[in-house]
Amino acid sequence: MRRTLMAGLGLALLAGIGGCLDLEEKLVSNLSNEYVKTQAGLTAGVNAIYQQLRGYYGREQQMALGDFGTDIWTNGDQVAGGAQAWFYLNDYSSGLTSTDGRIQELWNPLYTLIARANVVLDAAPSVPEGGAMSAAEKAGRVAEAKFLRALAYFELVQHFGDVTLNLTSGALSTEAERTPAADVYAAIIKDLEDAIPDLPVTQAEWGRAHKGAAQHLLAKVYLTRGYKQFGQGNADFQQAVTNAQAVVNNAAYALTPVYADLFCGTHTADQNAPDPNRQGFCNILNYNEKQPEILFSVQYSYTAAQVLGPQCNNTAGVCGNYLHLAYLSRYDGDATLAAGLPRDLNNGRPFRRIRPTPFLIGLFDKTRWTGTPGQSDILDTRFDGTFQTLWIATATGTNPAEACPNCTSGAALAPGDTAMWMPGYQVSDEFRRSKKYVIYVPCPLEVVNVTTAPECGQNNKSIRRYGWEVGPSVKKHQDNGRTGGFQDELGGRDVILMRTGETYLILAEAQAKLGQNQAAADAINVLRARAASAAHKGDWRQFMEVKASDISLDFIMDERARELAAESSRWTDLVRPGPDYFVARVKRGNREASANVAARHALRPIPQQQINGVTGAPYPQNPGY
Amino acid sequence: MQRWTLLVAAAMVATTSVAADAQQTGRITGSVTDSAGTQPLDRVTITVAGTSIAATTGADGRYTLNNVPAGAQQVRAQRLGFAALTQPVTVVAGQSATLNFRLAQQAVTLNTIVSIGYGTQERRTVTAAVSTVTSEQIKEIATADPIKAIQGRVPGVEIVSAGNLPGAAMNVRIRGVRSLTASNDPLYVVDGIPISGGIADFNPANIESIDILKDASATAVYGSRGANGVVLITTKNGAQAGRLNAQFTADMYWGSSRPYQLIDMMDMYEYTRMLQDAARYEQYVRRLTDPSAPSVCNDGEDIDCVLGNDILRAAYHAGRQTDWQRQILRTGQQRNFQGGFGGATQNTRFNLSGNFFDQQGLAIGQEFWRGNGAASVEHTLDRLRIGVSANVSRSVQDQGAGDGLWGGALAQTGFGAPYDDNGLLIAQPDGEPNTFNPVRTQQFFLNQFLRNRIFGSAFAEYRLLEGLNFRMNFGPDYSSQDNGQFIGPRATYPSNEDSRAQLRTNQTFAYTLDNLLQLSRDFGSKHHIDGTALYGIQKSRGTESFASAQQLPYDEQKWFALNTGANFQLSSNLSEWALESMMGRLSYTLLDRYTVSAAVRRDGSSRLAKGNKWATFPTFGAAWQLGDESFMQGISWLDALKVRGSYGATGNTAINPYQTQGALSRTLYNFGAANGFGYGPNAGNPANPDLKWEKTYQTDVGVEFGVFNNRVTGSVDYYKQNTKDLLMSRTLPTTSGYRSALQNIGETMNRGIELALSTVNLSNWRGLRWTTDFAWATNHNEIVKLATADTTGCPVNARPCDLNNGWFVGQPINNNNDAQRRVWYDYRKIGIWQQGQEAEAASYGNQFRPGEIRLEDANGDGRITPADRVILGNTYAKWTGSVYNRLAWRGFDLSALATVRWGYTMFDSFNDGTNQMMGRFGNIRTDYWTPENPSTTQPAPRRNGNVVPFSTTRAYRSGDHWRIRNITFGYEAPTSLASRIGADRIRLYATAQDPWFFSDYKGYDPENGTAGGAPAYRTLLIGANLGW
Repeated sequence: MRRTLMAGLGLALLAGIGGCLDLEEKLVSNLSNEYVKTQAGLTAGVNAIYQQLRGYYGREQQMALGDFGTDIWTNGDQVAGGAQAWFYLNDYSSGLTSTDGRIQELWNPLYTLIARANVVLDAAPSVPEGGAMSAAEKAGRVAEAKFLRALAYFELVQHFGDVTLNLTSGALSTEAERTPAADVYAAIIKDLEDAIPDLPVTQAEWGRAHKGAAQHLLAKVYLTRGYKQFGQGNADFQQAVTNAQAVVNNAAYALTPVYADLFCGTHTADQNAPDPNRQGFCNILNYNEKQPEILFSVQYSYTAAQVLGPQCNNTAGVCGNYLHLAYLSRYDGDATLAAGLPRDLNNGRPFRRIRPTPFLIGLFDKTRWTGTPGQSDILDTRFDGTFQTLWIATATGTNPAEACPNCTSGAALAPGDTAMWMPGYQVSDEFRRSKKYVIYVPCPLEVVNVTTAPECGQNNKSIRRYGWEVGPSVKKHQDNGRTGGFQDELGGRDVILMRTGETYLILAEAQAKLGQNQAAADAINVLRARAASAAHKGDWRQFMEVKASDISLDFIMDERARELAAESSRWTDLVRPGPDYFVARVKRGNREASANVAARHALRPIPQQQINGVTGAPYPQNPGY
Repeated sequence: MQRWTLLVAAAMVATTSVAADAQQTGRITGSVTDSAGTQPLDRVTITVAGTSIAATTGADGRYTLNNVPAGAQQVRAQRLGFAALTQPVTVVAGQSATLNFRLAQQAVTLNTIVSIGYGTQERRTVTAAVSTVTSEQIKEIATADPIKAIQGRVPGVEIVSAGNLPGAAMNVRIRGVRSLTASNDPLYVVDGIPISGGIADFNPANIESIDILKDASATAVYGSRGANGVVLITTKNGAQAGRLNAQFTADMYWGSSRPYQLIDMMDMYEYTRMLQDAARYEQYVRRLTDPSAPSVCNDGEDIDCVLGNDILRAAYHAGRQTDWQRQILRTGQQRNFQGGFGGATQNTRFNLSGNFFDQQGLAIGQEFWRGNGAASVEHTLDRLRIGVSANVSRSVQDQGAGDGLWGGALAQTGFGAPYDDNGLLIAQPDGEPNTFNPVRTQQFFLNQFLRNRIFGSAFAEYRLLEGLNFRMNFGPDYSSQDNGQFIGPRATYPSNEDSRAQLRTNQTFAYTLDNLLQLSRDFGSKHHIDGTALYGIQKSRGTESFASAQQLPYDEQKWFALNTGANFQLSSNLSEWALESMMGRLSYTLLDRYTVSAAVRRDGSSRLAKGNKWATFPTFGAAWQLGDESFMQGISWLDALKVRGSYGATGNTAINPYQTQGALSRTLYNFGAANGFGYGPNAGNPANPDLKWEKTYQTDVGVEFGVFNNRVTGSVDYYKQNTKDLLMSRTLPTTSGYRSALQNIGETMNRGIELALSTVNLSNWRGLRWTTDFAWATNHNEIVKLATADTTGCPVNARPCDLNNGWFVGQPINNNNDAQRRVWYDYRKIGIWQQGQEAEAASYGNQFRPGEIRLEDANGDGRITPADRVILGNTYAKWTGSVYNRLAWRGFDLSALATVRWGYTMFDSFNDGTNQMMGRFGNIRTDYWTPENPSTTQPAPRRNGNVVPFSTTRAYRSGDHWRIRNITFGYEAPTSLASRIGADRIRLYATAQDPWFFSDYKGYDPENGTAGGAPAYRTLLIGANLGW
């Protein structure tokens, strides 16, 4: 009995164990905001801002909002119907509403970027200087954060007009209002002017913002504001000139000598090309992404640890670069198209979202489509630097034989034979019959009004015309360095956002606005000299030189198309001069959009998620949506 | 802490004074046996009415009651699973009276003892809705998963298998669902210890009973975790037959499984015909706008043209095709071995058992096995009773490519072959880059889950006074899971030239420590009080580590030499939580007829932020034994009638650890080749200190009855639940940098009726006994309030709504992660556009032409726009039911269980997925539209991967069905026969699991029709049961 009594007492004592419980949570596998106030935390915080660039740049939405619905780009067949039915971003039909996911995924990641920048900029004063991080280094990190915030606001204000301007990291609020665009531009300019003195001319780590990138961006911001009613007019254009000149006059940002080398390494198909001028696809394996001309690029990698995280999925926007998928023509999987071309890593996985308009094809050097096919005299290399027009068989097969006209003779192919060719010009039936390969040609170039030219429409596979399924593929994003095979969606190429080539065009546009047409022509001629083919390096002025009398806004926009095609800035370039200009250009080049496009489309609808999330005073939508 | 010590010490002082010297008392001894009088029963509680005198029978079934006041006494014997019995006896002072009991076994009836959480109670006086399944019932279903053994048996408890792979988890929902974003799984409590997750690691043969607490009166004692119902498991302990010496049991079965049906796919020639028709349709469409458009593949007649590549052409001309389903199919197998050894001495009881189960699935590489060992020992020393038990299990589940393997087989068109001429596996048999050779997938896609679990429980109980015990429970629970995955080069989509492997290791250690004071006393002859007071804590610590690599140099290493690869990824994680609880419960019964009970629990949780950590969950209930009233005694056919009602609040553990803190997330980036990792705020998870539990308020009214000499017993319950403070994701203005935050907004409601009925149809008609159990339940679920008040775009009668999530006020909860809980919102298909309707079709939008699906223009605006989507139904059954019949004649028994699920709409994604008619993947046989065959149900086919617009609208259909879950035929040999081989008991049986399904559905799994999934199968088992 005594023993059990003692046991009972012991039990009673044990009962006290429960009293030691602590209900406080401690973060171990993670960190709180306080970390950003340390030196290591400041750099980590800045890096996190960069990461958010991947939420928009390198995603499908960059292609859909940067290039879709412009005079030079229109939708491919895998947007036009079925599951990917967001062709309304191209043709401005009634489906274009505030609930579109791509517009939301422009807005959301950039505002997340801004929130991260605000956390860093608010924490920065508390970060000690000295030791591992000198005062200059700290100032440089702060300047990077300001550059990135300015970049995000600039993208937003161009697409949406008045947007919420938030420059501090405060408590969460469910209220929000739209700040006049004039104030947003002022904040962007202040951020960039604050950042430029503290940024180094070059960065030890490739991909961090440097002085040249900030000057380029500032030049473009001033150029854009110059057109606005609230802008400073010529004073802004003069500022654009000053900042652009600071970039182009700095040897640290010199142009890459050969245009095609900006985007491609060695061109694997060279030796098989009937037109041996930088044909075939880009070989990214031999590609240098660290070229002085590339002022700022969003970084991607093939290294899984730098790309694949727990949040890695297509919409969260932190994985690979997806642009290599979007701009490709169909070449595979259909024997009526061309034989010998199973899908492979080099030619890529064609998502067929977007294709060049006939108008874009027509903008390029026309010398080639007057001469003898296959041996044309090329002046301007930028067409071949931009497009893949040649497909080499990688398997055996037999090309289809069809009745003329527009026939091919049909022939057995072995690997290495040319299977399909898309010259930018018309060929004769005799020429077709003499070739084993299938030939696709553009719509007639003399077509002025694309809306009345049925041959330029939709799916022209059976008549061997460029159509919505078939046409030249864009090389600029092709990626045969993907580690996961030909179906792998995760590209590792950087997305070029700013390069000196564009700085010349900003300079030219600003100078033209100031009436300095000769200076503008001189700026463009720098690019022309670079674009001239090797055979014409000596006599390019004879064929390609731009005169002061050539200079007009339309001419500069045409030149931007030639120089910057598929670099996802076309839409913002077209809206820069104003809605009317935008509408006129789109109607001129884009058959699908011409019926619907209107001045209201020069601004995107505010995402419904934003409007739904606001309490109190409603968040105004842009007119017409 | 201190208050407890004081209380216990005070109670002990009191004990010594109450254990007063006995005068004018005698004693009662006797034994308790089963109704046949052969098997002694242990653990029977013997009480003397109107006193606090009580005793418990030992393993020999004997008991002794000391210090019983002299005179006539009513003595009551009760034990879980048996009908309580009260008998009179006369005690003479200083003498010993003998009183023996024979207790009849009883399943779900009125007079048993049930577990109610932190104690047991006589069913007579329980105020809550509690359903009990006994070991006898569990035994009749041959299965490795205890939950499967109660499938279809309990009204209001819906149990659906999450899939058809071996070892697939079971999805349990008690009285519908409440939460939109949090778990709707019930809480499992094993031997008094609340555990995390389910009970699949436990051996069904080792379970004494499963009690399911359904209403708040019962679940509120589990407070913040009780909202989804509670499943109480009591494991076996000690010699089951109550023998003094040891007893062995052995049970084994073996069986084989075959799928219900394979899918009727197009063969190569039919497929080619479809491609030809697709080409003709393409041409037809083109000529609608341009009459001179060129022909497509020569009117579809050019077979080489419609067949997209040389592989297809070669196969077609050679007449060679593959039936891919049969390439990966095999006959499944199940084996189970079970052995036990239990015994008892005067004061000590022990039980050991072991179990090995193994199942081979219908495909190679899909397997499951589990080994399980359990041991328990209990010792009584005067006032002190201590016990300890352990359950150790290890299981390995090989999933391979899982359900995707079957999807992969169906995606093949039949033109390709699994092996080339050299006997090597072909990666893409028919040349389509997005499909893969399932035979190759089967061999090179490994996905293994290895689980170890050690669950222990220990208790010490000290009798402070008669009827007042102090008890301490301690329950450590350790589990680990290694999930290894190996995917060989190009073994699955997306195509990957490199092999990939990963290993994810989780370890969780949790413990529960409860201190309980339990009171059960009669005061006078009229009053009885049951009381419980609890102070308890729970803590859990979970770690996870993950590593993956690519480009592994050789396949045999699987995931065991990741360091030899490249492109590594690593992660690790720690997650801890703690819960502190106090609970008090009091139940008062007057005249054994009127019972009122009340309980309150207060929980403090680490998961919530300061200020919201603590929450209180009260409940009240009442029960009235109406049948015992004198005015009811005249109704001769009525044996028992009880009405009860309750109201109470419970919570849902809906917030994950650290969720309120909103930590920085690690971000990935690079600067050139250099790492550019960072830390930034997470857009989806801002710091959110205002979060609190979801709370469910439940009312329950029930009637329990027994009529016709208890030949018909049953219960009816009506309940209504309102769940408030529902955690919902509220969108934020994204200009804040954050997209959404969880907030306690929104309400849902559940109401339903449950009916359970047991009948004895033939009691002993020429030796034949026939019993039937019916279960029937309805549940109505709806969303009452959402975060948004926005009605833009909402369908009529479902406003406001949240279109992003598919949530509509007035409609049931749509849970995108739970295939069984979906609301269908889509266009309504009303036919196929026919020739002659070109103009009318085109007026609705330029994608409508003859041969396309015709949609209902719900808003009548003459266009088909997203505003024309309507609510097409939901997966919530109007009612579910089951019938269980059991026949016994001499040594033979035959039982069958049939279940019904009725009144719901399923999305037949299986048929949608295998009937895409896009000329790219395998297709089921379909009577599709052509100009000559104007089908009114199926549209025209496409080719080259072009999708049929609005294809999903074909897939909504009624899911009504009933199925036979189980048929068992058994024979128990007479003892004389058994003893010849030295055994006491021999039973042989044959079972058919899921033998028939009654529905016109043509897919792999009619019940789980929303997921592609692996085929459902039927299994035939034979087994033997021995005891000696």
